[in-house]
Amino acid sequence: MSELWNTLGNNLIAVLGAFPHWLVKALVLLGFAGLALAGFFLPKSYIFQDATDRKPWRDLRYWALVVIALEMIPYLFF
Amino acid sequence: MALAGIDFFIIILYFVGVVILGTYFTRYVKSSGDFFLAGKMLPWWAIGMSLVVSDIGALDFIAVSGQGFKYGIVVANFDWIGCLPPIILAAFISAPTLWRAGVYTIPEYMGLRYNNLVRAIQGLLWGLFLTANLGVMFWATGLMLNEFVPIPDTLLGGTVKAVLEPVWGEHWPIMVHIILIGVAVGIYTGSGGLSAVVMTDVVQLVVMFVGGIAVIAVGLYQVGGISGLKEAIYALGPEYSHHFDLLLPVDHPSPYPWPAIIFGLAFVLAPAYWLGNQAIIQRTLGAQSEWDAKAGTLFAGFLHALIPILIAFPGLIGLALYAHEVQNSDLAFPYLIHKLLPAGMTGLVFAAFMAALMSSVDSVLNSAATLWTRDIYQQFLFRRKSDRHYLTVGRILTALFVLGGIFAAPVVNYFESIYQAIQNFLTFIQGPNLALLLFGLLWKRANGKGALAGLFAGLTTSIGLFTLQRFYHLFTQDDPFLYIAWWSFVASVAVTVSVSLLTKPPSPDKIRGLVFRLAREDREVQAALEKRAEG
Repeated sequence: MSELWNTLGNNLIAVLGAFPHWLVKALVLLGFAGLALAGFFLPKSYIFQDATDRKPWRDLRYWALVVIALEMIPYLFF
Repeated sequence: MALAGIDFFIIILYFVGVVILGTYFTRYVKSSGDFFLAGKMLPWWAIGMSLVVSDIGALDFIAVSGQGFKYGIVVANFDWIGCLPPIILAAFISAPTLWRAGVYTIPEYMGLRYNNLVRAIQGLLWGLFLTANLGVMFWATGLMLNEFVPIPDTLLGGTVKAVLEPVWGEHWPIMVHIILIGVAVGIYTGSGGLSAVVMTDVVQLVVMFVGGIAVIAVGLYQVGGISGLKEAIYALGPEYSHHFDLLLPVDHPSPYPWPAIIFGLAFVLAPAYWLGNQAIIQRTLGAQSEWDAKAGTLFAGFLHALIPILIAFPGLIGLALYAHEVQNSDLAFPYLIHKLLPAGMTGLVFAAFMAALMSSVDSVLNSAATLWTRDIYQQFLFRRKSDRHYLTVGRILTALFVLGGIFAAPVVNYFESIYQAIQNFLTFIQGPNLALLLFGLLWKRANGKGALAGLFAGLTTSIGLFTLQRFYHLFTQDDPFLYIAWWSFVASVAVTVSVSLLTKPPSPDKIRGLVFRLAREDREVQAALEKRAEG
């Protein structure tokens, strides 16, 4: 039983280990970018629901952009 | 850690100020809604600040710095990739949907979305976890304060030390700290409810940031900035070559190789925490509007981006400056404070430490009281009582949890495995909890039978993998909690989908307003919301 698990585990590690570091990093950054842009597919009425006015600073899609931009900085440098 | 008179003054000022501020909010508590959800009056900035400081505890300062010292910047993943992406999802999907549903707790949502059995199991699991966790938090608090706060030499001209030293030695007994913190937090949480918790959190966040930034500013200056920090650590030898890599290779011996970080942390534990942890989500449920719930969550993301700098970087600075002096990595942070900071500043950092500690305890206390009152007491024991009755029950439970936590805390010391068991328990329930919440929020076809089967499948997988690891060393890591969370989530997803598809779909009336897309597109729900906004 444990041999089977070890074989499965080792194969999985070999597959994941084949991904180069730069590719993993690029995929992570791509994921962040996708998440930031996903907000723009939501209707404006949903974004501003209950907001007292529709001034640009209340547009939460831009808030999400800032948060994700902050997130990307360390992953670009480290 | 030696504290001077000025340090004690700052700490006492902070401590008394927080208790007075928290107790002030008692005047606004007239109903159970005021107590548990702050009367749905919380503004976005308070929600954001409270979310961050509730997440970061005093243990994080010690443990994350220690892990940073040992493994490097990779621990920052817990506060970057482990926070910001799920915060975006929480802001746009879970927070507004749960806020619209008008629920007080996550199990309450599960009950509305699936059935009462799912609610009961979830309520019991979370109630038990939060309550047991209080005992651990109290004990950890006592241990840390005992380590760092000696009986002062100068208090009342040295008389206090002369009297107490023969009885207690150089340090206050652990139980003195536990009782002091427990009673202080219990007073304002039990009287002012969520408003008191959130508003004291606002002050605590400011204190935590000021104290944390002070350590980093002095530390980075000493080490010669970021480039000096890197040079000093790389110079320690090749075993430190990955100390500035956020994504570690698959075969890295630490518990944090990139697949564990991506699959276990980013895909499961982090969303489970930010979307489904009662102690976190409760303040967004108390938002004064849906926009405030979303904005508060995003504001927390903005503030949270700075957290790794406050809690992980001290470990790296400690390594760069005192690699050969610090034997135990968990002592890197206190050692840094002891060596670098002058009197007065030490008091400020200690106040920051207390802020992190008290804000986490009050959040867990308030959420535990809410869960037990709403999901156990009100749902299964005494259904049709007055609102006043449930408010009183919430307050009594808060007091009981403080007392229980204080008395349970020393037990943790005798059974070291209790702490580990509670952490394992959290890992066991996070995967299935996330699967049920995500399907509840996003997939209208998910039903009660599927959820129940998925919950059991996830829990069984967690426990099974944990047992296999114990006896057969299934994973290469010693503590593969991230992998266990991932596979229990996968099992829960597979079973929930299969059973839901094989059984009857829920009726549209049952899930109305509870599924993200339906709540967003339902004209009647929208009209009701607009009417409510108009006044």
